[in-house]
Amino acid sequence: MHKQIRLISAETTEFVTCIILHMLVPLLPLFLETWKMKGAPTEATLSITAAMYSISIGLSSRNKGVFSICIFVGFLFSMAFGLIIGDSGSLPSLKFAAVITIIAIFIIHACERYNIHMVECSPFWNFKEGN
Amino acid sequence: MMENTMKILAIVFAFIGALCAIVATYRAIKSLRYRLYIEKKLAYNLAVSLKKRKIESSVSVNLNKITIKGRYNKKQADLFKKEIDGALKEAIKELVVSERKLVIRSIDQPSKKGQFNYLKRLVENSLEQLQEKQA
Repeated sequence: MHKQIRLISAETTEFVTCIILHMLVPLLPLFLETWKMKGAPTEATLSITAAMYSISIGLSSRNKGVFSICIFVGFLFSMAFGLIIGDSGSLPSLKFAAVITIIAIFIIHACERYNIHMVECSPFWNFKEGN
Repeated sequence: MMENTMKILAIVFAFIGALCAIVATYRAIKSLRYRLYIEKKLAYNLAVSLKKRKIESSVSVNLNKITIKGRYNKKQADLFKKEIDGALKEAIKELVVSERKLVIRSIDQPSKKGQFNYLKRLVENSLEQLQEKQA
């Protein structure tokens, strides 16, 4: 009998799928703008992305603390977006804060998902078998 | 004047948001490390329990199943399952209440596939620990 070749484990597959579909796809507009504009995205794009990203990630969190913080961060960046929209001036510090926030939110949720998919071995999508 | 105030306010909001996110990141990493510590402790407890019952050499974890080595009839296999169940219960009992809650939540997760994978990985880690000790 032939031995099966051990490829990527089921847990790793679930985790990587989650990272790509759940955490990187929502950032696609940001990547596209960076690529299309051939430079850094505007302050408005970065702040609205930080706001929407933290709200959506917060809503899918199992942890109440992370949920509350993400909603609060989303609220703050929505305010920042409202205050700078239509402004022609450049605000590099706001860009910096937005990028740091997006990265931080990504790490927070990646840790949580590592816990769920790699430690607890829960599947990302629990499809029922067709038979 | 008004425009400048709005800009400053926007920057202040953004920095408060970034600070909150950084604090939350620190907490999330700490929480993940704690969870990994619990898993390590549980695997060790299970390894001790399996060794105590002298069944560690009869179990192996293959690609997608836990195998019992040797020839066993159904009755013996059931008895064996009970032994592993007992070892697992004993290992969980050794944990602190808060740690126990986390482990039980993982075992009682809604997905049957997830439950099996979790238990399989736990036995696998315990056997690895025993092999490391023997080496």
